[in-house]
Amino acid sequence: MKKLFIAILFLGLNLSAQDFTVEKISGNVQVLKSTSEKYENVNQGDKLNGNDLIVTDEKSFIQLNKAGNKFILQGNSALGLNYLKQISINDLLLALAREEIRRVPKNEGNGNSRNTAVYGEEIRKDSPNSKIDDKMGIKKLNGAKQLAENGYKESAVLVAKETYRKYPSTKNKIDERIYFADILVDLTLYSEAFEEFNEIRKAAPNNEVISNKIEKLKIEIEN
Amino acid sequence: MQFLNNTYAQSSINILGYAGNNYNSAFRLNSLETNPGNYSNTNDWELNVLFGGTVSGKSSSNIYTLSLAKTISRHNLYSRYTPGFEKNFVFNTGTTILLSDTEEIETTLKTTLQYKEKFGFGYSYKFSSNFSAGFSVRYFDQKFTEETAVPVFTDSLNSIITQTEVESKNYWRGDIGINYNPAANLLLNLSSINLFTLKENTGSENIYEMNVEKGALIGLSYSPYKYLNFHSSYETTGGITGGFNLATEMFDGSLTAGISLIHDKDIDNTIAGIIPVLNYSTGLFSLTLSGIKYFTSDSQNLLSSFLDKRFKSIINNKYSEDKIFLGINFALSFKKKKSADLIEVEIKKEIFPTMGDIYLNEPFAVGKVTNITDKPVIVKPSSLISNLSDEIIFSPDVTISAGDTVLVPFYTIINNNLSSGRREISQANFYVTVINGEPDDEIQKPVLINNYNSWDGKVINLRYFVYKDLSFAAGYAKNILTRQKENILSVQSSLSIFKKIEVLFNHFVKEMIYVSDPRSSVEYVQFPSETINVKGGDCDDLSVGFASLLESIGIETAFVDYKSKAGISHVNLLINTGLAPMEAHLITINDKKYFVREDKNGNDQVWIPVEMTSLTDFETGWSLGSEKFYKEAVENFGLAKNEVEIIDVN
Repeated sequence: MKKLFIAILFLGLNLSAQDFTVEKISGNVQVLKSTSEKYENVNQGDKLNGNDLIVTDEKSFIQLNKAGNKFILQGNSALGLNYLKQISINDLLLALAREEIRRVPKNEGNGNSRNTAVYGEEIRKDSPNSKIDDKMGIKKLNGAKQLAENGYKESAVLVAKETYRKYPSTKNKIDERIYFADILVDLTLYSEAFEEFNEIRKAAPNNEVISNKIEKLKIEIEN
Repeated sequence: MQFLNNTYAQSSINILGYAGNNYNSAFRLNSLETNPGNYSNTNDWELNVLFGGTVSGKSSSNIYTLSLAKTISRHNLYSRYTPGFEKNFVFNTGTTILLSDTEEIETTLKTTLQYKEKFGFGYSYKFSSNFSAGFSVRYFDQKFTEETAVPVFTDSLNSIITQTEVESKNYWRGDIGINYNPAANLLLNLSSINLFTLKENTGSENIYEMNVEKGALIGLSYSPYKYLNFHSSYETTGGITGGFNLATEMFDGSLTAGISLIHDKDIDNTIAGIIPVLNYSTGLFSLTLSGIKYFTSDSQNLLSSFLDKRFKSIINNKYSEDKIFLGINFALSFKKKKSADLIEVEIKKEIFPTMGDIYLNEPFAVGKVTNITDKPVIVKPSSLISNLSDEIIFSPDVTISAGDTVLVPFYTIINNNLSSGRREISQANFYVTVINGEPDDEIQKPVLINNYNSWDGKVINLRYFVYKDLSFAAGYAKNILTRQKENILSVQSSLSIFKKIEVLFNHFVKEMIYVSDPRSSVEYVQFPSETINVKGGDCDDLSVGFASLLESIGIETAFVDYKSKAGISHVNLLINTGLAPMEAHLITINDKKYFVREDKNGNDQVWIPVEMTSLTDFETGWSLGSEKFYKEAVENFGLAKNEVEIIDVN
């Protein structure tokens, strides 16, 4: 009976830990709930949870309170509230390894042809809109930076990595990428940082800062 | 007739020499003289022909022995015909008589002694791999002809005539023996000498009869190294033999050279004679050249001397001459020599006929195989499952070192045309073959064959159900898409795949209801055509059905396996929209609703999770699938912790 009580209490704390209260708000702040396709305006006193994505316009901000801990998301940012939590180094390493799992395995195939052949000129009525991609990607990176500044370094790295993949134009934001790669160095994840800087160098082959960091990391890894 | 040698006969001397060793042990290189217990390693039929002749050249060469042996399971039968085992003596009695008063005719009385060994049989039984016992029976023919002078008195003439008396003393000789291998390189044997003799002719003993003194023969053969063999024997009746041979491999066979010395207590020379031997053996035949050289040459041809010590052996006695022999053994093996033992087989998997291809990559059984030879062998494992395949299926070769035991995998190919489609027990025959042809060993074991809809519960194997009736799925999907052609063409080309997914989903789930699996000891998965026909299924059936529709028109799909520690797992789908991440905003503003995967060419593509059991509409199925996927696979690190697995269908 005692065990049951403790379990229920723990569950309750865990659920409450997911709840955020909007303490202050300025400008235009919207929320995208769970898998919704519609942004909603956020007002002071609203309750948000870990499934929500907060997006702020320029010159806007929102202050959240989670179990007494306050967090301010500045303007021109986007943040999934599920990342507003401490992540262990082990979980971070596992998540970084997940990048490998994203790859579709190469196989021999079963002889079924993929229906990809299009005869005649394929016309794409709508070319990829890099501006939309760029805007949300930058907001996400800004949100990730604020995570790092508030001590959620591991979460920040994960958000940045996911942003590079879902918003590919952000891969060219060299300064931001260096910022998040430096976090890996701070966390003494030298091998992971080494790989990340090598990835960044593909986008900026002549960047001396990156080359110097790679050389330093080589020494760290060898030692 | 000359009497060149006075070597006292040894009853157990082997005129074939002593060439047996590790290299040629499959052949019987001895005869009943040294092997009364009939010990043999002959695998099947074996024929031996022995030619021989005296070195002096006064006797023409002829067939000495002709023998045939056969091993049946643990039994060995041996028979031999011995035309060369013959010894004749003609003694002058020293008496000369005048046959006629009128004519000067005189003659010398003679005594003729004729000894023959006609034939023999042997039988032995192998009680275990290192112990056998047997007996031998041999038949001897003795004929003694004596001339005597008989006076004849008539009215007109008194004279002396010669009279010939002939007496036969034929007899059977029987012996028993045992053979024991305390170690692989050591053989001990113990046999009787003249254990029993059975005379055909009654009456008093003739003074010319062969000596049948009873005794025992103790022998030892030892190989400290594979190529070296020592042998010795001791007879309680007075003989000792010892020697060695050396062997080497040559021309796909073995060459053996050996030498033996013989000694007998009744002669002055310590070494009575020497027996050199040269043998070449392959797997099919064995060729032996041997001889006997006697060191004594005291020729006495007096009957009194002969009677002084009666001889014991027809082929080797104190009157024997130097001889040379050529023996040929043919392994008439209609049954090949066994090189590998299949000790046991463990069935690792039940057979699921629809998932037949997995048995090409994963063994359904594993056998324990021992190389029983002294060389590495390449074993071909094979199997035949009745009711499931009509021919023996060979698995990859396995090399096994000499004497080693290894685990050998058995793979198979399923012929669904032969399967009854019912869940049943079938017999599987497992074989191991070292050389092409008859298997060295085999074991039969029952194996469970499930029905067509049975599934082993591994999500990765759902793909076999997806492709089971792909042509049906293709027809079904194309029919729907044709009817919705205007709808599909209304969107920009990059959204074509996404639109097809939406159209097919909405049509597929429209008439479906969720139905759990029947209660059964095995998982049950419907083929896509069955799901569509019965208009329902569980998450496996619906995921398989929809994946089949998409795959049939070239849209990539993957199963998402949500593994549950409680044992209640769930499956839904990830579907490739063909969109690049930069195009994802064309289908959603919410980046939790897609997952970026890198394709085989290194390009990122947008995949969407879809829950099949919602059975409402595409938007709901997509949202529910995304929510579960994002929560369990991404946020809770399910993919990284292998609690959620993405399994591509193709």
